[in-house]
Amino acid sequence: MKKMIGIIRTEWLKMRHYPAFWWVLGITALTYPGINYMFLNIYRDLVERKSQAGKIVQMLLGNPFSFPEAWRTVAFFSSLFIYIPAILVIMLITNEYTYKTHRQNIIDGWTRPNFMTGKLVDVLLLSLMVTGLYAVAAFATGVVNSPNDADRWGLAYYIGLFGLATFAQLSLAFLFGLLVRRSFIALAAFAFYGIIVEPICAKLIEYKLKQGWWEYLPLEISRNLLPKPAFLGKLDEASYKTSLAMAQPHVWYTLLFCGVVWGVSYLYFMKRDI
Amino acid sequence: MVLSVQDLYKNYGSVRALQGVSFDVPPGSVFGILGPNGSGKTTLLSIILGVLKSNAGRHLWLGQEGSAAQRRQIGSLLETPNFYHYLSGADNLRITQSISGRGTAADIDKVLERVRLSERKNSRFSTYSLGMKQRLAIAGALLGDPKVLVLDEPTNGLDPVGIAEIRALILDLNRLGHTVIMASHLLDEVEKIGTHVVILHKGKVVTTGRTEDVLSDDDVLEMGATDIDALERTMQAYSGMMALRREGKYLHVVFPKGTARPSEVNAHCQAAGITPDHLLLIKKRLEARFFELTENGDVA
Repeated sequence: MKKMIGIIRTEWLKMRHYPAFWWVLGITALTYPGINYMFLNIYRDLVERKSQAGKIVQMLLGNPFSFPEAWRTVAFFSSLFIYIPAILVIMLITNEYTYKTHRQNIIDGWTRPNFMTGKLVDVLLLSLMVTGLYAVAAFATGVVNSPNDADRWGLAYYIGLFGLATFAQLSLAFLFGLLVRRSFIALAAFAFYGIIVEPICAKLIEYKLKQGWWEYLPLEISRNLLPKPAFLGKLDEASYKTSLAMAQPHVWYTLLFCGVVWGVSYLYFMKRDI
Repeated sequence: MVLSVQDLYKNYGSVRALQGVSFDVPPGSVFGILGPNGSGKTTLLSIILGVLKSNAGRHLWLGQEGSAAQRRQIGSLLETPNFYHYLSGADNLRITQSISGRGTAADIDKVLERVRLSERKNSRFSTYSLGMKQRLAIAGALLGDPKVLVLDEPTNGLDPVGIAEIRALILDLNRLGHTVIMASHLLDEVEKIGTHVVILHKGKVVTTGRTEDVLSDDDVLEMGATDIDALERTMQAYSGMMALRREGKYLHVVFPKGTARPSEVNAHCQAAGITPDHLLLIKKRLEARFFELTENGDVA
């Protein structure tokens, strides 16, 4: 326990005066309310047009930005910006390579598992901060858009789901940084994989191969914890409910995925010369 | 022994960086690890400090297998100063202190004072000059007054005043009973402050022992004669001679320290019918000794 406190303290010493840490956290803090406010306006436009689609959306789902649905809706939109905290996660590991401080930490008396535990603490800490920002954004969105008698906490368990999805995706970003070692290449590789490679692979597997295992791709595993709001997709209640039902087994898949990512990371760092 | 290195091997692919390196570091010594660039000094230090894994062999710190707990008791500087560029010197030492457990917050100020960095302790590391970075790394190694220090090229990047200060510091530490293990490619540095030395060449130990024995100044007799070839043949038969070689128009004859007797050599030549027209006793330069040891590759 004393050792763990020492590791957390050391990681905090590394971060507390790191300007990029506070900048990225600040940008994340601005982005989450911003993106949700933007989609709230899109939703209002859709409903206010009094189109057939708008009426169906309202009839089926009510207001996705009011409680309790706000927890789910805000979770999805906020998760789109995982690449911002991922920048920080990648920099926190690639900085160690750049400055060779990963070597110095070992020379000064950490074991290699101690070093990796430090990085795990970083990713957990950042996931918690990001989840906190999401929770504040979701609660504020719900309060502004709900009547006083709304069920405020009905879907609050999405805080946990969002936290888990964030941790899983940031863990994957960390693995990119650990293996690639150079910050900009790792950032580009992670973004390219997340935005281009995996979505294309998922669609190929789903439509060409007619297989369902696209949902087990590294980012899809945790993306399935946070379903897309129905008003953004086809108005198919059945598929929306299916996507909601997928969340539960994906909690276990995501936990397993996190275990694999960190297992690989620990093993890699244990075996290599540094 | 403070450190015992036993039959260490390290390969980088087909490159054999260390080939069965063994030596012991006695307590209270200033132990120099000497060798030309690429001889395996930094690889050796990286293994004993836990950042590289050897392919075979082992090292013992105070009779125990190397471990993180032991590393925490050792002040170390390996290769370049490795610090977080965006943090101040003092913040960087707080991290060193947090990981190693060596020293206290007050000790951080003391070591910064000792290396003359107090005024810049709150400046970012990235703004430091090369010499200041090196001094911060030495401050990190001194934190908590460890009994054993490992310093890789400690005077790198320092100006002449800084070099003299670090040498004085190492001698001070030695007088207080600390053991300092110091790698250097500078013969002069090891000769001036080292009590013991190991010389590495191409990953092998060439020789090890007390500095005065290993790097002793041999006697060199510089000789000249009209018939230099005849002089060389004559001196080859002279007993007590270690080596001879041509140096321009002269012949250099090497004797163990303090054993060259010019009058006896002259008599030997006269008896053989050779009259030397130049006979001068000179001290062999240490660089030549070092060069001879590492170029011959005579593995002890």
